[in-house]
Formats: sequence, C-alpha cells, structure tokens
Amino acid sequence: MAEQDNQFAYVELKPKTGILQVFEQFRRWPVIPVAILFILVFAAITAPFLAPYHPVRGDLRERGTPPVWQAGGSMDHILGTDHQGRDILSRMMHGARVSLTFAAMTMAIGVALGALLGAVSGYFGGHVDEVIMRLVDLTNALPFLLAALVVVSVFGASFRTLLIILSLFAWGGYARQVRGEVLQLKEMDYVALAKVAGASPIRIIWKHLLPGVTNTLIVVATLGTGQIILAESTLSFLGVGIPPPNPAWGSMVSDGRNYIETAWWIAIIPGVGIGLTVLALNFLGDWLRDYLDPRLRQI
Amino acid sequence: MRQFLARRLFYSLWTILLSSMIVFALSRMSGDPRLLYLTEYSHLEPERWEAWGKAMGLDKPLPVQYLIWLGKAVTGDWGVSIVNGRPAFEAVMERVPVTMQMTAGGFVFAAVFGIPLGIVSAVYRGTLWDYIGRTFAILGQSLPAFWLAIVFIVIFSVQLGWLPTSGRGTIQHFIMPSVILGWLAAAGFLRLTRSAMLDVMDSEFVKFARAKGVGKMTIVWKHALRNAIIAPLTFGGLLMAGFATGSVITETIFAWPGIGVLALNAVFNNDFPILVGAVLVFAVIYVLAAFLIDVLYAVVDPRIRYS
Repeated sequence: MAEQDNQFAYVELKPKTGILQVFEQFRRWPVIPVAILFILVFAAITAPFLAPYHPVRGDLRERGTPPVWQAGGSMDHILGTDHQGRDILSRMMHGARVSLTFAAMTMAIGVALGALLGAVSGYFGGHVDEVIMRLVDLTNALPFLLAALVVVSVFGASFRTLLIILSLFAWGGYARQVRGEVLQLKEMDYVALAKVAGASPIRIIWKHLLPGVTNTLIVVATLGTGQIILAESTLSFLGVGIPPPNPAWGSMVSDGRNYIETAWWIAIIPGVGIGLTVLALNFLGDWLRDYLDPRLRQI
Repeated sequence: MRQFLARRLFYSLWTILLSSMIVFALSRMSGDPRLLYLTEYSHLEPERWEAWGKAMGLDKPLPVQYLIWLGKAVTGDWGVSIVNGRPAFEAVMERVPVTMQMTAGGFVFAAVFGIPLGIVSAVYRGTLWDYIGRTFAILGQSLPAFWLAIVFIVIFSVQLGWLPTSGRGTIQHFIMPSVILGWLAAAGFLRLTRSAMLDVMDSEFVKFARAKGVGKMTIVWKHALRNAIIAPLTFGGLLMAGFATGSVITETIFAWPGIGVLALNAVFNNDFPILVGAVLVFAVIYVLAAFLIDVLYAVVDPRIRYS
C-alpha cells in the first residue's frame, strides 16, 4: 500500500514569484481584453472633448500624412491622415462612438427579444415552441447580408434600418440558448412549487426562469456584441451600412481601399480597431463562459 | 432515412418559400411597384398606368399577387433590368458559375486547413500545435474578412508582388479569395473537429483500446478520427449562410463578376428586378447546398437517421 501511495505523491506546488506570478494573473483574468474594451469605451465617450481634430472636416493640405512611426509622419497626426486630410485617430474615436452605440443598442434589443421568445418557447413547448424555433432556423439559414441588401434598397441605409435588420437576425441565437436552459430549469422542483402556489406563467418566466439564465445571457451577449460589430462594419464597408459622413470603422477601411499602394494606413489602421475590439469581446466571452459556468466549458 | 430526407427537404423548401415571401413583402412595402418599373413621368398617362397595373396584377388582393409573382419567378420570368433592359434571369444566371467557383475554393481551403488543424490541436492538446490551431480559429472568427483581404493585398500583392490583386483566370487568382472566404468556415471546422476529437478520445472504447495496448497513432486514425471527422458536417446551414455573406465581400474586393457583386451594384443602381433575382438565386443555392450537406451527414452517420 505504501508503495502505491508513493506513486501518487503530490507534486509540491511552489508559490510562483516575480514575472511568473504576473504571467499567471494574466492567464487567470482577462486583463488585456478588459483593458482594450475600457480604452475603447473611454475613447468613445470622450471623443467630442479629447479627439484632436474634427472627424468630418479635413485639411486637404495635410492629406496622406503617414502615421508617426513612418518616415514623413508627425506628432500632429499620430495615426496619420486619410485622403481628405482627416485625422485618422480622431475619426476612429468618433467611429468607436458610432459603432459601440450601435452594437450596444442592437445587442440590447436582440437579447431582450431572444430571452423573452426563448423562455416562452421553452416553457410552453408544443406549437408555440415549434413556430418560434422555425423562426430561429430562419435567422440562421438566411444570410443576413442579402436580407440587409434588400431592406436597404427598399428603405435606404440609415442607423435605424440597420438597427432593425441586425437585431432581427441577432435574437435567434440567444433564443436557442435560453430555450435550452429553460427546458432544464422548468423541470426543477421550485418551478413546480411555484405553479402549485398559483403563479401565472408570466410570473414564473419572469421571476423564476429568466433569473436562472442570466449567466448564459451575459456570455452570449458578450460574444454576440462582437458579431454585431463585425456585421455592422461589413455593411458599412460595402456602403450599405451607417451612411457617410458619419465616421464608421467599416467605411473608413473602404475609403482607404483605393490608396493601398501609396497610403496603406488609411485602410489598415481602422481595421485594426475592429479586429482588436472583436478579439477582446470574443476572449472575454470565452473567459466569462468558463468562469460563470464551467459546465459549459467548450474547447 | 426516407422520413429524415422528407423532413429536411420540407424545411429547405419552406426556407426558400419564406425568403421569397419576405422579398415580395419588402418589394411591396416600398410603394407602388409601378413607380419602380415605369419611367419617372409615365404615371401621368392614366391609361398606361392602369394597363400596367392590370398586367402586373395589382388590382388583385396581395396573396394572389404573391402567387402570380411566385409563378413568374418559378418559370424564370423575373422582369428586366431597369439599368440596361436585359432579362434579369439571364443576367443573374450567367454569374452563378463565378460565385460557385469562389465558394468551392473557400470550401476547399476550409476543409484542408480546418479539419487537420482541429485534429492536430486535439491530439496534441496544450502544446504549441494546439496554440497555433486555436489562434488560427479565433483570428478567423474575430478579424473582419474585408479588412483581412486588404491586408493580404497589401502584403502579397503590393509589397511582395507574389499574387495578383484582383480578377480571375489563373490558379494564383484563386489563392487569396479562397483563403479569405474560407477562413471563417475553417475556424468553425477546426473548433468542431477539435471538440469532437476530444470527446471521442475521452470515450470508453478509446480508453479500452488504450488499455489493450493499441498504439497512439492507431487510436487516432482508426478509432477517433472516424468518429470526429463528421463533426464539421453538423453545421451545414450556418456554414452556407456564412459563405453567402462572405462571397459578396470577396467578390467585391477581388473584382470577381459573381452574384454578390451583381446584388450589391443593383442596390446602388436601384435595379430592383436584378436584386430580387440575385437574392433568390443565392437563397436557393445555399439552402440546397445546406440540404445536401445534411443528407451527406445522415448517410455518413446512422445516429442522425434514426433520431
């Protein structure tokens, strides 16, 4: 017996010191994603006061100034200027304002719709469930971009049109997740007891089921916000998104497309903003999923 | 099996029908269709205005109008382009091969990179390979495709001069569009293959094989892979919707004359007949492709057929 015990002897865990400890903290907490998102929100809120230049009016004499680290760049325009002499940093700060506001609103509508329809679908089952789930299938199977093209050609591109299309596509995924959770939750004794006590379905869904899916909602909302930012910037890039002259990141990339041989930064730098934001949201979402509910831990 | 096929086919047709209804409803919401199809001042001539209305069936109730419209759509009468007067059916159909070539390229890239990387990162979990695989996946899911395309052009066309910036013809023209279009799908393939592999590697029969003394490579090839390789087939519908969206972007950036570019230009030109035709063809192609993937999945995996 003693020999066997030796086989499974514990490896002694030494407390990590110095640089290793810092590294360990970075692995455990999503420091970098949260920092990126914090900077972004800060830039978006303070854009009207802190942005060094006007986002739409440019100075044509300054057009095509490279970013500061490149030959010919200056501290006046840290990230350079575009083909109309507009400061890219200022435009990106204002763009963050537009994109984040849009993503937050779309996500709020999508999550509200998804949570409600998902809970109703899971709780009632039967025909209600069938109808709602077929609608969810539709939001999955229809390519949002094509639907957006048709809607935009009918109603014209505007903030509100986009908001409606994207939230109509966003809710499906949330609804499916919430439904799955509710199907499990509603078998719990406390739900049965609430029913016995005479609680109405509305009360049960609102008071007893929805609070149970909060964690799931936080995770899908975080991951979903990234997807919405990607979708919005794609539409703006194609010219059917947030209409100019509003500085949206997607349309900034599109502006720079014709100048990639002479001024790569006009197109590339705003895209870095989109990429970092979505990466940060995806990392944060994955981390939240592991942290809030280890059962859901995927790859 | 037959019941499964019937159900899947029914859902596919239902999706196509529903998309056609949505397109129709939207086209009617934009106002009197005569305003779209007639030139600006022709509605000042009342007879012509009325005659057009009759010919288009506008005097009938909406559901009947929809059926008339659907009947015409099925028989290939999609009206003519407002910009150049060509029949919309012709203008859309001649572009189908281009879009399908590009989608095929993207699919090949996704399968050739996504599935093997998924296997490797599951088998060597926690090592450098795993790290590379997961980085590849999260980049594909986070970076905007249109921006990646431009970064690729700056690096491989402008700086290095290895690949052509746009157009089609040679095999080199295929490389960048396929990578850009396929990356998101490759990320999906990778994640699904990886988690399926991890599941199988953890199952009882693999543990038994290991206990029996079967070598690691034999377990991977003979026991795990056969079960895990079908995992990417599970998301046919989602995959195809992604390809439809992606092909509009890649066609636009790499100047491939496909349906995606046609649809986008139709939006800018207010060429509604072309837009409707392009969108419906897209819907039919991708919904049917998703259906075929589902069928393939059922053929490969008996568990699906009987559940």
